[in-house]
Amino acid sequence: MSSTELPISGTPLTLETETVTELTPRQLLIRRIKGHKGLIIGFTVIIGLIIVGIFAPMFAPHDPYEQILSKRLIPPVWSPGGTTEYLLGTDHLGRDYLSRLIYGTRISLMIGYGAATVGLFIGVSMGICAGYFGGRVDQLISYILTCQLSLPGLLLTMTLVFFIGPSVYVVIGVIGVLHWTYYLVVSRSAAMQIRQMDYIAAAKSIGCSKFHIIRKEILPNLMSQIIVIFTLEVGFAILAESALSFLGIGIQAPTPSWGLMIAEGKVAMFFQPWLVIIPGAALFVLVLATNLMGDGIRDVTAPENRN
Amino acid sequence: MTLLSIKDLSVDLKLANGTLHAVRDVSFDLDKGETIGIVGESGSGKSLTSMALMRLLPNTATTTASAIMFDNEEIQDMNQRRFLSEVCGIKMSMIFQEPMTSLNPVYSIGRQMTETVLLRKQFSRPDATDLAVNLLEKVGIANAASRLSQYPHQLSGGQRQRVMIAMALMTQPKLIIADEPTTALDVTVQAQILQLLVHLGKELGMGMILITHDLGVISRMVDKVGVMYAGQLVETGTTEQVFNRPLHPYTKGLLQCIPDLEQDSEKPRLGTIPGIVPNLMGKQSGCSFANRCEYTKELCTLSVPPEVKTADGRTHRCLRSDEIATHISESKDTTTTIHTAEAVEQGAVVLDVEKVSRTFYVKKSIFSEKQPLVAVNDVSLKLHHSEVLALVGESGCGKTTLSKMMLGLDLVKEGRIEINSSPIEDIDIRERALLIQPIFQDPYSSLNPRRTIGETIRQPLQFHKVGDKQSQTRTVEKTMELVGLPHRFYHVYPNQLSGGQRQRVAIARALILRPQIILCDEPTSALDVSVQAQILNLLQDLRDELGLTFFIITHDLGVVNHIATRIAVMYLGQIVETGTRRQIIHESKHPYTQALMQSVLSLEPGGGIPTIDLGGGFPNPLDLPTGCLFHPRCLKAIDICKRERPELKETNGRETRCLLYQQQKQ
Repeated sequence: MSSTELPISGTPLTLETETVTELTPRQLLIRRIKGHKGLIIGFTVIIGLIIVGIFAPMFAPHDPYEQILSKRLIPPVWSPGGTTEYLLGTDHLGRDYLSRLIYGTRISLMIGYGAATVGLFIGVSMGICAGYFGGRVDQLISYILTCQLSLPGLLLTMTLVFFIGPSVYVVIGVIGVLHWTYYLVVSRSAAMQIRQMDYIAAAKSIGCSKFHIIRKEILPNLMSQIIVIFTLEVGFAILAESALSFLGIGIQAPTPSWGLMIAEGKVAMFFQPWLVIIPGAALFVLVLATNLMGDGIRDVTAPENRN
Repeated sequence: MTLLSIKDLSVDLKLANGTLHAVRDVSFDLDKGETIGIVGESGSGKSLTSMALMRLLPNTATTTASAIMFDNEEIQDMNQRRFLSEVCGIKMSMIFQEPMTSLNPVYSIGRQMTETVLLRKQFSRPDATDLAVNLLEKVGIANAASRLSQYPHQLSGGQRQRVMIAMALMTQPKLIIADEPTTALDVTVQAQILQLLVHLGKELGMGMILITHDLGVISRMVDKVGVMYAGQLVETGTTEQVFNRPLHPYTKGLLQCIPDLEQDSEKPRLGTIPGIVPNLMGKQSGCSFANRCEYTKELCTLSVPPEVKTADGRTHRCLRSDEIATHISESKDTTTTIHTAEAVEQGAVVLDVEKVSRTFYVKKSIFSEKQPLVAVNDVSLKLHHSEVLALVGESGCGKTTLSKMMLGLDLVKEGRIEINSSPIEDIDIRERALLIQPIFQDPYSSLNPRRTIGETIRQPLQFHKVGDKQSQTRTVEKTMELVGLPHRFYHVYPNQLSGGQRQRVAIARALILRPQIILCDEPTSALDVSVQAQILNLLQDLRDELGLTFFIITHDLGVVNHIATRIAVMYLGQIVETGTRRQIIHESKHPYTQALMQSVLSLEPGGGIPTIDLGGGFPNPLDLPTGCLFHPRCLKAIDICKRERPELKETNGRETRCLLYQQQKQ
């Protein structure tokens, strides 16, 4: 980031007399964001996907639920037999694939980000408690972690969804409740290290309460790691949803979701591979953009990158 | 006979934003059996110089030199395979700074020691084992043969460093490079290790390069000195020449920064070197010291000073040395002095530590019973208003545990700690913050990396809701001024500051609530000498200006002598001696204090390393000796010391815990 180099570390040979233009932290932050290509690309793509999701009825050329069995399995426009009416072709029930993809953005974004956020709250709060308090609390939480790790995740998800009844919110909740182990492990070990730092002792001698220390001293130092895991978990959550949908207990057909589209496409994968490739590519773009955005946020906020 | 001859060695490091010229045109010669000391502050390139010799630099670094002659051979162009099999680790060995991490924890001592010679087939296995035992005995490790099967974690820090030295000697090298070999060790151990190194060097006729920031060590044990600044050797010469008649202003500045044990009653301010080390990026246009030098003229910024050889075989890089040399040598002792009277009348007691003990219980394994570890043992101390009480002792003596209890970070389970006559547990934690504030040892871990300097200093005000936002900002700015931090650091993050600047931030944070007492835990031990001098001066000024009371924990008696009014010496959780500064430094009674005093390596060119009257190593605190806790290490111990545990007895305002002294009195 040579273009956003800070003036204060310039040429210390004349440091004491040098007049420097004061920039407020906000201005500096904007500069760093502008200098970070990955962040801008990732952010734009995510915003684009959100807009597409919200305004899906305006973007979609057809009704995603309308089945025209006479127009089944039309290939996309670029392969022989494709028509401009169905840009991405149709699926095995003759529904417009582009419209389903556009509507599916809603569900996939909601599940990806929603489940990853649910997991974040569970994992990070437990991880910080275990790392900061140690002793009995740590033993208890580590025990819960071991239990969670030894349970067959998919089976548990299936059981839970089966009993509560399948809906988007249930799927988000169940996937989130079962995907917090990474958050916990990472934030626990980081909190353990930070606990021993002198600035924690300094905060204690100012009179700060435990809650204040956790919130103001420890949590900001975990942001880098949390963001990285969050971006990974978004991908995992969407894939978990597609696995559930494939087994028939996730998002219920005919609701369009990318995971379900991949699952349904698997049947005809060898003859009409685009049925899997198109939603797969969309998923890839979403996860990639999330990663770019996450790394970017980490880079522009982490103090160690400010020289 | 010349063993090593370096001509114009330069090291460049390629970084993202340019090339860093870390070492620039360094030249020196070293004879067989001679020791050269390289001193300099952190970042001056002294370690890179030695690593360039051993080819241990990272891949991003490029080394250039007109000549590196080692043992009559040019080693610069030697191919890597031959260099590794003949020079590196064979003829040239290195001893590293950190004994705790430089031994591999999963291999036994014996395996690590013999590995090199067996690999190179210098010796057969039985011969190599014999040699290892021999060398371990030579470096003063008892039961050497049985140690070979031990693992690093079974040895103490001092013992590990001895093993490292023995390991470096296995291949019978001609040159030893010791990079800060004693920095990580206690003072009492430091002297022993240094003595060993000097002795071995002379006995085996090895050349030695000793790299350190400790001028006291250098002045006492090396033949030649090179002073490094900003990647250049600014001055070389014999120890006597450099320390008694420095030619370069930087050397003079460094010498004035050192707190001295000799000075008495009057406390001169330490000399300081203003400004900071220049950025080593880009091309050098003038003398690198010009912006910090008191003798700078325009000339100095115009051309790079070449290395000049003087008639008596010294070299220096100063353009104006002819004009200023006499001045530098003469003005050595004319630092401005501030007269601080020895605290004759004592103020009211602000902090009262009364019979405090702290015991931890440790389990060796899951099945063994809990064993008590007495970290603090019946300690009583009184801290009077506006005095500076220093607590001195080796690591592991319980200093830090005591300080934690004083800050209220640890519960007082036995005994009492009172601040202004109210027990510390009864004081609300918010009020306590207004009474006592800490400054910690490591400025790198005492600031939250996610907060700007302004936010860090403001935090106490915010938390205690002192004033509105604007008045807070004003107070922060005032405090920053007080500790000498420029305004532009307000929005800067800690990682952009140097160690000394960070320590100033920590001081500002401790001061902003205007507490009565400041508790400093080794406030300068992580800093360079010139920065240490600045911080010590600052603490002294703050005490005079604000009437603060200081409690300082340290192991550095030079620092103690400079700043303390009263001193307490701690050994294995007990206070063994207290008294005024003069009483402890100049008339110490307890044998342990005397040993500590001996271990201080003050500047004394050619003074050698003194023998310390201290037997054995630091005892296991889980297995306390009977009688006087100090008797196993005490050379003056008599029969009664093994049986009776001495009490702390007061005479003339000083306290001593020693049967010997108490018997003499009777």
